[in-house]
Amino acid sequence: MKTWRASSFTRRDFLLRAAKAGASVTGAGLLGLVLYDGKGPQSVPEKNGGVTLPDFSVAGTGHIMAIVTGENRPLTLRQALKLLGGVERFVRPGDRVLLKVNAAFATPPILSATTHPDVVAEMARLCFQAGASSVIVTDNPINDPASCFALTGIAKAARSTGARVVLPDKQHFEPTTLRGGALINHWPVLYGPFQGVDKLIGMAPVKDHHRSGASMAMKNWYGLLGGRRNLFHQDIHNIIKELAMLARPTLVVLDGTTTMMTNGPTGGSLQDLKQTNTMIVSTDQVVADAFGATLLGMTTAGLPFIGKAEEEGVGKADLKAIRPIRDRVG
Amino acid sequence: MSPGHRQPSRHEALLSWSIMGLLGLIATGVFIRQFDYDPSVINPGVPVQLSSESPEAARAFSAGAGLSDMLPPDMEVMSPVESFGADTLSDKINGKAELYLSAGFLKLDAQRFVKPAAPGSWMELFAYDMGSVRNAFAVYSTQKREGTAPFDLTPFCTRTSNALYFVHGRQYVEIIASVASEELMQAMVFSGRAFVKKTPVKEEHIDELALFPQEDLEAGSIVLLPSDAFGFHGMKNVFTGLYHVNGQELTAFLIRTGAEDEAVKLVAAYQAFLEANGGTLAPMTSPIEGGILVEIMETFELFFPHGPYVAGVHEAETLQAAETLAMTLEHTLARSVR
Amino acid sequence: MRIVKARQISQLFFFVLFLWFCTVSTVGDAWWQLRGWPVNWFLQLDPLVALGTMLATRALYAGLLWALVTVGLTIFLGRFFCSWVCPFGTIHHLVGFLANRTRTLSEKVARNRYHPDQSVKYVILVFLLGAAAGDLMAHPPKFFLEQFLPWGLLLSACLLAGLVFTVTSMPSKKSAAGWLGLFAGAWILFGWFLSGHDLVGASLQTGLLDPIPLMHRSLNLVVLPFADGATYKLATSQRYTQQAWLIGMVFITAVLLNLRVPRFYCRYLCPLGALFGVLGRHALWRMGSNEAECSQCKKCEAHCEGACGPSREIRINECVLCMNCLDSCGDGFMGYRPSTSAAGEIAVTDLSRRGFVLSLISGVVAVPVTRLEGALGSGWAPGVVRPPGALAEDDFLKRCIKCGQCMRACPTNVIHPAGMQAGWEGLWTPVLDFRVGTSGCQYNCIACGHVCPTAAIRPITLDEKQGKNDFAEAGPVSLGTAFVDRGRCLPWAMDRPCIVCQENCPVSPKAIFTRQEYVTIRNGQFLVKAVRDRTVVLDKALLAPQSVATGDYFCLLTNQGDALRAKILENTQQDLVLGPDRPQPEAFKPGTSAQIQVLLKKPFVSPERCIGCGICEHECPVSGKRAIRVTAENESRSKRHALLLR
Repeated sequence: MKTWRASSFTRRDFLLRAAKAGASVTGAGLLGLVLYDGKGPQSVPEKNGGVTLPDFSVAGTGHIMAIVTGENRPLTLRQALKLLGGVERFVRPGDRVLLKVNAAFATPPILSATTHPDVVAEMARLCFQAGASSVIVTDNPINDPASCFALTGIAKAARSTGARVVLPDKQHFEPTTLRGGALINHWPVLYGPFQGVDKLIGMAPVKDHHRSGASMAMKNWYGLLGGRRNLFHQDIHNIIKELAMLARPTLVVLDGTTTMMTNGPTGGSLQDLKQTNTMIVSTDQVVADAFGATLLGMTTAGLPFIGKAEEEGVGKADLKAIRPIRDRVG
Repeated sequence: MSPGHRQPSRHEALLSWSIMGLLGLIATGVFIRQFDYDPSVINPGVPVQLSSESPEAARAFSAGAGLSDMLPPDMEVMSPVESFGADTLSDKINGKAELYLSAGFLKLDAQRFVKPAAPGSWMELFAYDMGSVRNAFAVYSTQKREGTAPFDLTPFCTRTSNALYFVHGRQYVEIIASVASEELMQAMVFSGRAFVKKTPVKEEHIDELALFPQEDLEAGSIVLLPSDAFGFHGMKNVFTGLYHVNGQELTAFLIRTGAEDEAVKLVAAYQAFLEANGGTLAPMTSPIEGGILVEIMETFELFFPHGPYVAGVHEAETLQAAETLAMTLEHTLARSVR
Repeated sequence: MRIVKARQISQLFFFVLFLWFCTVSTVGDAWWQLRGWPVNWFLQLDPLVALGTMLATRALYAGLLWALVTVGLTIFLGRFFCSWVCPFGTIHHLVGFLANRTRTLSEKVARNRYHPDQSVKYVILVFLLGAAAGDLMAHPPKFFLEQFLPWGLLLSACLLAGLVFTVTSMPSKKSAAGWLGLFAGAWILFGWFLSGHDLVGASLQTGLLDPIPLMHRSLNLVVLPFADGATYKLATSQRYTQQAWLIGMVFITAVLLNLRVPRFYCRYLCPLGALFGVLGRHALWRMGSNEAECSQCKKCEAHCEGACGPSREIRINECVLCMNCLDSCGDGFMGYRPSTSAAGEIAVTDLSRRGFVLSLISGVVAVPVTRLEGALGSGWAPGVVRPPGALAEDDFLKRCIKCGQCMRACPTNVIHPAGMQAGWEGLWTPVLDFRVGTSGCQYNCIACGHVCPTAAIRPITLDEKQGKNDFAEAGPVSLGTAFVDRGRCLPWAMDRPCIVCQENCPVSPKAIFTRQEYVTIRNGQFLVKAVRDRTVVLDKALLAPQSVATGDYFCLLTNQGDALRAKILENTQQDLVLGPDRPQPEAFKPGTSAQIQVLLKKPFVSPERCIGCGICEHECPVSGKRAIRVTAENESRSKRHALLLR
């Protein structure tokens, strides 16, 4: 504690103090004026802006599909890719590849509600063989992410090949707006894992879905949405269409080896499943879904999102026009 | 607290009094500030005991904030803005509502202003939103009053000793004063100008007005009858103008229909209507194409189609006058209408 | 005029002005109503409001610019606000004076002696400012370089203020620089770890103890409502306040504490006073003695309001410029002088470095700890329906100073101070209670946003509120959604016709629609005994006369192929008079079934039309727990609470 004894009053002393006081007032005033906001917060019409997911498709590979029947997933997948020109046609040396799997539920692989770990492992392996510098496996699950990736076997499968699982975190989500879309408007998407990625491969099982009819390659992109995405169930076919417009993958792998015929998307009983032994690989997610529908015994007409996506130019739904390459393994 | 006998120093007293002065300034500032307010916030038109009233009534009082912009300098707002829709208009103007409702009425905002110095001197503004220039012109022109003189505030504007009437865009505005005084008239003119300035409108011409021949036309006599003109329900949106030809008063009329064949049909229908009511077809001497002359109740009705228009003379006393005016009408139409 | 008299007049003037502003805060254009009265002027002059919102929102909103005047004057003149302007201070001053009148000189002096606990108000100030500065911690340091205006500028200002503070209270410049470096280093470290953290953020809690909002709140919500029930009313009906007891208790306690120690609140608790103390420490003119030594008669301390010890070394940051010492000193030694006191000054802030750091950290940390409840995330409170124009919750809590102006202005008395509904941070913030009040949120009213001094509730236009013209695409502002409680609703659960809610819904087309159903009432199954003209005689005389003749009841006659349902116009114990259709006696012979049915219109809510105004909840005749209630789902201010896609 300090005390100052009286000092004799001098004009200079006073002026010095006056100057200091004036400086403080000026400082405060300037700060106030710089931060001055006459209008206050405005209504938030944050319409557009945000990030954009790039187009990962490879030039010259549009609208091709391979369908391979067989029990063994790694074998059918390998054969299907070979029929399309080999994985090297799509993955170049040094590429960073992102595998967008379906890890929505924390269920075991035999229930077929999620992407089968064997398919994930094989795909990652093939990518590395083609010279990929890194392979990332990710999804924004419905249940707790860590248990989903663990219980579905996908985490183990990925690690065994040297691929890396990226669990979604709050900081990974960025708002995006789909140009030409009405629903995806400044909505958070899982963007973080896409940094520096060169190729995107969607991997999904063929499933019945209570709300949308079926969940296949296009519906798989729902796992990129963040926020309170359940809201979109009110307009399910349009959101699937917009998701297909948002995500432009290099390839989609639609695993119809064990198809969930009823009680989708979670299933829960082996009786819900049918062994259809079909692996579909395509650069056109619309025709992949159109073919997948046949495995479920459904028609394209019964799945409005297919027609909507075709109208928006995402792909073609006519199987006859695309003429898939077929083969059998084992 | 403090001894009452302590004398303040000069500095102290000066400081104290200046602070008093400052307080006075603050009080004045606050007082002046309270005059400046946003009526849409202050007058939500909330009737106080709302539970017992219907929401329709509450909505009827929604603030038409714009009228307060028209407050003349030495006057005060006397009552809050009242707003009326189609279903509540008769609450304000009673039977006259029918005139507005049949002419496309949308909304009425009304407010009173008063001179605080002379409480008996007040005026009421009525701003009728009629939806279109034509509708506004219709209600404006059909309410001709005795002793009106044109006034140049807008293309369609007249005033009497205690009122100002004008059309501005789709609004029909009446400003009516409680007494016929020069002061109030000036205030009304001020309000009228403020209204015109406040609502910019695109120049909207009423084309039919230019189609009436100017010669012998009584100024400001063109009226737009929205419906049931001349007693015939088929006559809608009829423009009429008053002519003085050779000492006779004649009424010319003009209707724009949608298309040529509609005009022809209307002519035939009107003819049938007149004949059904005792009129007889008479031969015309003038070469007006498609023209019909009907003598009914000792007057002459001459009308003809021209393109999409139907024009004619109504209740003429002599045939010559009717034909002369009709010819002039046709010439004007032929020149203006391709 | 003596300066003390000028001060008294000034206190009276500002007190009356404050009281007037509170009184006129009712919507309307009469002279005694809101009009253009600058009712927020005191709040705008209050630099703690300005500083708090500036730290929390990095902006100085509109009228808060007035605070610069107060700040400027304080820097030049000292803590004049406390004893010349502050209405709360005036009350304390008066009560303290009345309590002390009968005491002896030595008793008075004892009560006005400085006490070290007077530093508590500085702790409170730093704590509150720390809580408001949380956002500055929530970003990594490079962010401040990228966004220099206003983030970086604000942070630089804070650091500069910290520098000034440490320099002036340090013995040497070197240790000052050292401390500043340590402080900045600690901040950078924390910033790196905590940036992007959900829970770290700013929370404006200054309104709890800041005297101007406190006084507004207490007057608006506790004192003035008593005047609403009296003969010359301010409002048309008695206004109620939730949480009135707590607000009132705080106010009364603060006032009564003056009986113990004069100006207790000002000396020990007031964060605004603390802020003035800091600002006014180097005032150009200050109270002081003209002589180095005096007789120590202590008359000056008998009425010293700030307990600053004028008889010896005066504590200049506690001096509230009441001028009582100047007036009381018999020898004329005390003066308001442009130099330091001849008897010496103690000009150090009573808050030690340790105290400062601890308070600051506590303030910053308190916010994330509170937010662990998840009230700003998925644990949000659906019962918190905020006024139209309110910002999203995290922004709202950065601006609301709990002044209660919106609550007083609301013409239907539906805005109330929250208790714990919105968490600790939301104490006394405005929430809507549609049961208490005279109606719901009025369709044409936008008063609350225009009266809010900090834009916690934005001043929206009527067009924006109703979703018209420019705002047609955005749609109307929605406060929440009404949900029908089918277990309580009269037509749904109790076979009673109602639809008051649908009738009162103010939007067009209505957000409540009905679906009709005919339901046979309890004990409504009869057989026809006879049919005479319009009258049907039933087989049993069980009805209460006219009980089914309200116009909602119908008689359904069925006989194999034929059925007729006609309205019951009158009934006796056994007869029903039907109309307008006559039942044919041949078709409905004795023994055919006659059921008495009630026509129920069951209400449904269209969520895309509902604006959550609460008028339906208010009008619902189930007056306890209402059968239709508004909760905050689908409120426009928060996209995350959306019920619908758009």
